Amino acid sequence: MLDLRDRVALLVIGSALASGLAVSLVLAWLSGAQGLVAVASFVSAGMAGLCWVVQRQLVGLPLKAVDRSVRELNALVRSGDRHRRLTLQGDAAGAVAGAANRLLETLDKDRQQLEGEARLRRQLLEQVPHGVLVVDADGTIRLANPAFSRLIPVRGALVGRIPVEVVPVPEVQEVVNQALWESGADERPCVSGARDLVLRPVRLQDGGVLVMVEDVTTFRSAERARTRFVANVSHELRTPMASILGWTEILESDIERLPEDLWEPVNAIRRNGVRLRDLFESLLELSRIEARSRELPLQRERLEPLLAQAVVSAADRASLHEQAFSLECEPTLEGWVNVEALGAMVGNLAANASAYTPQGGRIVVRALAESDGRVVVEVQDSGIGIDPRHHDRIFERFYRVDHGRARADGGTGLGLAIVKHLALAASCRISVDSAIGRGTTFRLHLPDAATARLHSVSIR
Amino acid sequence: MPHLVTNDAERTRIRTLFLQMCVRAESMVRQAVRSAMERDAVLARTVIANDRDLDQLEVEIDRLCLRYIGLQQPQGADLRFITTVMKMVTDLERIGDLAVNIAERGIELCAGVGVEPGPELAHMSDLVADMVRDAVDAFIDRDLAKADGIFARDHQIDELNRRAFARWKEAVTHEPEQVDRGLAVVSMYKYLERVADHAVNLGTLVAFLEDGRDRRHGLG
Repeated sequence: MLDLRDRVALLVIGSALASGLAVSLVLAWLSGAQGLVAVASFVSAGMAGLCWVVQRQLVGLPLKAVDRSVRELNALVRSGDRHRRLTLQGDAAGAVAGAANRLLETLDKDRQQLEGEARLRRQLLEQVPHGVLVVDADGTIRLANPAFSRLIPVRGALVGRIPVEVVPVPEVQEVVNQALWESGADERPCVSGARDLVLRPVRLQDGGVLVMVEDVTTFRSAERARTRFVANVSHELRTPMASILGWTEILESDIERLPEDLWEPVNAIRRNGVRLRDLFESLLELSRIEARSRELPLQRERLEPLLAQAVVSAADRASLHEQAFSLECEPTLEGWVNVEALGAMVGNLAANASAYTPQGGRIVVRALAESDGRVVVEVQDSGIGIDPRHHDRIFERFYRVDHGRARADGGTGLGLAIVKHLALAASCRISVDSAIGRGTTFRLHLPDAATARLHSVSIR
Repeated sequence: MPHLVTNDAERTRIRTLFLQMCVRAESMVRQAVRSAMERDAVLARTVIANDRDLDQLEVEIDRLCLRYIGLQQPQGADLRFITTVMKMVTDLERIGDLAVNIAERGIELCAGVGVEPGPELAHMSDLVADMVRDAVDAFIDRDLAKADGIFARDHQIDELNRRAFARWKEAVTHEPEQVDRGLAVVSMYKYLERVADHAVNLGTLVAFLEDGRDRRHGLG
């Protein structure tokens, strides 16, 4: 192959020869003299020579410089030395070398920046306390950070394998499967050895999946310890308390035999004893509900008889305090409920309503179907109301809006906590609508058919 | 359209589901014992709920294997792979059932107070779950030596079970009111011992898969 320079040279020489020949032929024809042909040939050759010199100066030399630059640039690239630069001098070669060197500088700077970012990312990945696993769209592992292998005892190298081969926690493969091939995946708790973990899968844009692994062992074991502690303590306290109450009741039944100034103290012992016993019972109840969270079976029931049953004791209490009490429910209205849980929740809320409503107030328990068919059970009172800034916290254990009042009315401070946990366990949502002086309405939003079905699946 | 699915894709699917079942069964055993050790009824119920996944996996794997035999008519090592997997899932399913039994005894223990299983149970559970794990590893790595290594450990498990039985028999003789709890703990040891037997079965099948030699009933 001829290179560019030679091809240009040939073209120029060729055209010079052709034009020289043409000029001499015209001259020969005009003069008609044979002798002139020799002159014409000479002129033609002369012009060709002239053209050759001209092309060499104008085109050939610069092209040669480019050629040398390209050769040097190639050699430089082959050497892999990032710091080497082109050294050519002279007009054309110098210009090419300068431009190439500037380009090399820019590339070098970009590359350093990219390398810096990659290093930073690698460090981040190595330092985060969460485990990170990335799975490609074909289901094989692309990378895992050190925290991942620290949280889950993997067997051998991970990259290129499918998770279930090397990760002994079945849930990892399951969330990956869901994220890769199904509609996506939610976070998922799981256990690895003595650790409690939470897996958080995220779909990546390239079709792969990223799984974040968070260690929640401390949190979970604290929670377990608390539940266990509360259950044990309540259990242990209940027994001596029963004995104290029993003896006080015997004392009270025979109170005439005691000096009169002891009557009130004995009565106070019994009253407070009852309060303590109620508190222990509530604590036990709460820990029982927590232990079987989300395990209350749901069924479709007519609500009216259930509600009537649930509010019996609250209605008694209301009439004692001269409050108007009413139950409003269509006899045919049905909802997805756990019978015991609904009774306990409504009973608790209604008792609460009565406790926080003054004499002559009004309490309404109402069940109604909303426009979308979902059923809501409301407990409404015309009582003192709750400032909205407390609304988020009233479901916490022992949270008191008004500490002074709480001691006086004798409640345990656990009623609403129990209601909230029961609501969770029966797939209900609970909401509160209240303001100071405007009364309070608690609403239990019962699950619809679809939620109830999901609920039954999750408790098998 | 089955004829469009290659042998490889079908086999990979069966293998992945099968491995999922292995890992699930192993982790159920570990979690069941952990729930009893830590008096964690919620974890115990999770184990019981997980058994349903295991059952579904078994049914799905069996279905895929039958389809594979029908459509691909496998031969040689391919056929051995499919039939072995079909046998192994039965053992895995049984291991899951035993884990459920352990979890149920654990829930019983959570409900009351008194004697506790003690660290020996956790120790035995680790040994047994490791045997299951080794059978799975041997399957994944096609490691004949690892499969063979499982058999020897079965005697150790039998011995641990015998000793636990004697110890607990002694204990409840002195505390008759603890008989219920004692029986629950003794059953857990027994269940673990049976899990170990299934692990041995799994090891035998993996070894057969590798060299085609039948080691059952001390033959071969």
